[in-house]
Amino acid sequence: MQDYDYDVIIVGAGPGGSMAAKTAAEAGLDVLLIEKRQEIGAPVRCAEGVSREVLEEFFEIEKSWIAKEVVGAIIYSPDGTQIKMTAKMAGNEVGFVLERKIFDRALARMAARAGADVLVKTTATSMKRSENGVEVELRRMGERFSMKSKLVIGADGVESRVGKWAGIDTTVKIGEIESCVQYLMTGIEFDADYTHFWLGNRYAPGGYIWLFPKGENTANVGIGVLPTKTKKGPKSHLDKFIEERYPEGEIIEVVAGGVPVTGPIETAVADNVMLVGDAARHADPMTGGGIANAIKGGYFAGKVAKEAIDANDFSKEFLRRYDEMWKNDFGETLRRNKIIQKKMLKMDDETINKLMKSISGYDLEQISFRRLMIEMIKKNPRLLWDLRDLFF
Amino acid sequence: MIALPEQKKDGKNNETGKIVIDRYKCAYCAACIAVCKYDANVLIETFVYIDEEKCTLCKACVRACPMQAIEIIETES
Ligand SMILES: Cc1cc2nc3c(=O)[nH]c(=O)nc-3n(C[C@H](O)[C@H](O)[C@H](O)COP(=O)(O)OP(=O)(O)OC[C@H]3O[C@@H](n4cnc5c(N)ncnc54)[C@H](O)[C@@H]3O)c2cc1C
Ligand code: SF4
Ligand code: SF4
Repeated sequence: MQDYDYDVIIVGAGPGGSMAAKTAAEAGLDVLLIEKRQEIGAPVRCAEGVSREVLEEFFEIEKSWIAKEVVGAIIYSPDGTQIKMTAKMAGNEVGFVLERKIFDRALARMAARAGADVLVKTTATSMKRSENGVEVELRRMGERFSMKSKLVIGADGVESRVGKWAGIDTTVKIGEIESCVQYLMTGIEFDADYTHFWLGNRYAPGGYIWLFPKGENTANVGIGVLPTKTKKGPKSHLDKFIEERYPEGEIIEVVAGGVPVTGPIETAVADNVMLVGDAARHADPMTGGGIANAIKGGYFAGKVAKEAIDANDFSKEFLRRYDEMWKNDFGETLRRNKIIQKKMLKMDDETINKLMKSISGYDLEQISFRRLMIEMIKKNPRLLWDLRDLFF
Repeated sequence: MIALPEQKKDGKNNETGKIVIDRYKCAYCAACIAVCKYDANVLIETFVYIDEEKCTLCKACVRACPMQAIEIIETES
C-alpha cells in the first residue's frame, strides 16, 4: 500500500466544493479543500437567487445568509405583458436572495468544523494518476508542492480544469455560455417582494435581464446574453436597459461571469475523479441557476466518496453511482430545460409576446409549471408542438 | 490528446497576431477559460495568462468575455 495525504482532495470552495467537503468529512474521511482565491466567496459571480426548499433540505438556515426573501417572480415580455409566479412555481432560483460572500464562507466553515483541512490562496495546477490514486500539484503563495489522495472532486466552477485533466472534455461551446454582467445597484425603486425577469431580444439576445432584490432599494441588476446572438456584449445591453429604467440608481459593485448552459453531460466521473456544480455543467440551461444543483451534487459526491473509500474502489465504474444520483435527482430537469431553452432561442419577440399573452389571465397561485406549460401548448399548438412530449 | 486545431495560426483565415487582455477591463471571471478548447489560457487568481504556443486565435474567448476585455492585436509575422 502506498501512503496518501488525504482520502479526498476537493478543488474549489464554492457551494459545490464546500458541500462535498462537509459531507465527506462528516462521514469520517480525511478531506482537503483547496481554493485558489484569497477570500472564499469573493468576488461574487452570482445573482444569489436560490429556492427556500433546497436550503431547508440541507441546512439550518442562518439569517445572515439571506439578504432578502421574496414571494415570487414577475416576468415581463418585450411588450410589457407581465406574469406573476409564486416562488414555488418559479423553481430553484426563487425564494431567497443570498449574501453569497457570507453564505459561501459559512459553508466552508461547516466543512472545516466537520474536520476538513482548508487551504486558501492555493491553486491546483495539474493532476496525474499514480498507482490506485491521484497526485495533485498545488501552488500556494509561490510555493509548489503535491498531495496524494485516493479521490479528487473537481468543484472548480465554470473554468474547470479538473475534468480535462481526467479526460472528461468539459469545454463549453461559444453558443452554450451565457456571458453575464451584473451591477449591485442602490437608490432604485422596484417591488422588493418579487424577483424580476425581462425576456426577449429587445433586452437580452439569447438570455434575459434580471433584478433580484437585496433590500428595499438595493438589488442585483444583471444580464446574460449568448455570444452567438449578439456582437455587442452583455454590458452595453445592460447599460441601455438601466439608462431607460433606473437612471437614478448608483452602481456599488460590478460582477462579471460566464454560466455554462450545456444541458446534462454524459458523465461527470472518471477513474478517481468526480465533478460537481458548474464544473460538471450542472447549471440550469433555462435559468442559469447553479447554486442548488452544486449543493446537491456536492452532497451526492461526498456520499459516494465515502462508499468508494469503504469499498476501496475508485474506478470510473464504481463512481458511476454518483452519475446515477445526480441524474435521478435533476438530470431530467436539465435535459427538459435545455430543450425549452433551445426552443426559446428560436423565438422572436413577437412570439414571446404572443405566448405570454396567452397565459397572462391564469391564476398562477393555483397552477403548477407543468400545468402552465400544458395550457400554453394547448393554446399555441403550432408554435409549441414539439414540446408536448415533455409535459403531457 | 487534443486533435489538431481547426484553425492554425498560419491557417486558412490568415490569422496572425496575439491575444491580449486589457487588465483594466478584465473582471477575472474566467468565462474565457471555459470556452477555450485548446487549453491555451488560465486564470491565475486575478490574471489571465495566455499560452501563445497553444493559442490558435480561434476567438472563442474574445466572444465570450462579458467585459469585452480581450483583443487580437497584430504582430510582425
Ligand atoms: C452573473 C451570474 C449570476 C448568477 N446567478 C445565479 C443565481 O441567481 N442563482 C443560482 O443558483 N446560480 C446563479 N449563477 C450560477 C452560480 O453562481 C453557479 O452555478 C455556482 O456558483 C456554482 O457553484 P460551484 O461550487 O460549482 O462553483 P463556484 O461557486 O464557481 O466555485 C468554484 C471555485 O473553484 C475555485 N477554483 C477554480 N479553479 C481552481 C483551482 N485550479 N484550484 C483551486 N481552486 C479553484 C474558484 O476560485 C471558485 O471559488 C450565476 C452565475 C453568474 C455568472
Ligand atoms: S472573460 Fe474577460 S473579464 Fe472574464 S477573465 Fe476572461 S478576460 Fe477577464
Ligand atoms: S483565441 Fe481561442 S485558443 Fe486562443 S486563448 Fe482564446 S479561446 Fe483559447
